Amino acid sequence: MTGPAVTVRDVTAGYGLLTRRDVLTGVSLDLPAGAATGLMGRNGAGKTTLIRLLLGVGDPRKGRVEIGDLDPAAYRERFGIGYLPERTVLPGGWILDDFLRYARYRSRASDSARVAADQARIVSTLELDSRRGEPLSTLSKGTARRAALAWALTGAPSLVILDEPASGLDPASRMGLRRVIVDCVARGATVLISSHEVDEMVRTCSHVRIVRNGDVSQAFTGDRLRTDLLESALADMAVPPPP
Amino acid sequence: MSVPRLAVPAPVLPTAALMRRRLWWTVAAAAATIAVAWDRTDGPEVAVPYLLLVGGAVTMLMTTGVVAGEQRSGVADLWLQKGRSPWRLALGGLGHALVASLMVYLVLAALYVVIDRRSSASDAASALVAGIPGIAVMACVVFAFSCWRVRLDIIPAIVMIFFIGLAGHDAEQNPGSAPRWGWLLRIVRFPLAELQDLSEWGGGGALPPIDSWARIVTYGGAWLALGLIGVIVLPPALGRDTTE
Repeated sequence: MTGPAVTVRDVTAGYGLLTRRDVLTGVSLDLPAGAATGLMGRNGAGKTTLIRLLLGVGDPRKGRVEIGDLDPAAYRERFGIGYLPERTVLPGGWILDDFLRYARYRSRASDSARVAADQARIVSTLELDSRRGEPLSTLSKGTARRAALAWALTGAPSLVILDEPASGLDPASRMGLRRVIVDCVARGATVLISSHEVDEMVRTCSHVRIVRNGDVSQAFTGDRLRTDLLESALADMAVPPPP
Repeated sequence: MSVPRLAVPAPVLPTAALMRRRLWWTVAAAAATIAVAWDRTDGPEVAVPYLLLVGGAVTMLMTTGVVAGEQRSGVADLWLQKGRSPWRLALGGLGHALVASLMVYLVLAALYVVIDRRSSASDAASALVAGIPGIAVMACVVFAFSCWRVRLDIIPAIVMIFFIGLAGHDAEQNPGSAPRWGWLLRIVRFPLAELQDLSEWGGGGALPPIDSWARIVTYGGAWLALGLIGVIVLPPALGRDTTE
């Protein structure tokens, strides 16, 4: 099943209840269904704010966000979203195996045998099999990150949002990460990856959008994706000469 | 200190994890409850209010943030993505509060029966079973607390509320010693006397007056509404805490 198309139209959003600060101003963005799109930008550019809108945990001050034909919160409640947050916070008192079992239960998929088989494949790819009996509180940063990723992808969500997925992962784990992302796209999921790493973007995404000064107008795709993206990233990193 | 892992059905896994984290000090609190109830009362009938109120406080400590944690805690990022409507979350939370309150009360009551040598086991058991209707009302209070706060800084609030509840009860029993703010205590106190009327009616006594029914319903309803506001009206938020 192909994932939903995501539409963001003329969105202005930010944070702060009393001292409102707009981080995104008049942003429009389309995420193609069944493809992996990368989202890049400097710290504070508005990537996380955009992700919050897509997850339906905040409303835009202006404009609209739609996933398929639904409001993001309604979509999340109805179908679920596979989301890997930037910071990995796992619940206390859980054993990894129970955590994975609960993920299968919460995914509410009708075919529980298929969900279990899919999850077993993800767990194996992320090399978590040998850690199943360990408490979540004792997992290392990278292992906790992989456990959170396994939670997010259980139940084969049609929309997957990964915020800095490679953060804290060693090279072998990054290979596993790439494989599960490729699997997601192969089964038709719509994937959004926020990252600072050009190499990860080029290897996993067919499109990359840049968030800059509250806008997401710059886009890269096709054969020149790597070259253009590198040039853009270098320009972004340019340090002004000393006075 | 770790707690042995038990095989439990998937829907109960969060409760099991909660117990694993909080079991030891919950057991300590329960033991203290029993000691207070046994020491300060002359029999199981008088122990029921203590077990109900302090057992309720123990349940609150055990279940604190169970519902709110799903929407506004460090791990909300994980729970939120596997969709669940606020109403379904509230219903599940109410069920959780009801089961937890009942289980804690039954465990405390069973321990009390074992400890209390002053009355026969059957008399004690039947007196303590009469306290069970109060569990439904207590579950509403537990539910409300679990919907609002995640961290354990609710402990002072719980202590205050139950102190007021007990003080109100005492004030009603001894009107001469009621303080000037007795009217306030009468509003906030747990409806023990009304629940006692209900228990007596169940045992063949007179039908409780309409005032008793109204007090039980409004007290439970007020806490229920407070909890629903916490779940349904307050928006969910991605976790900002770095630890759970």
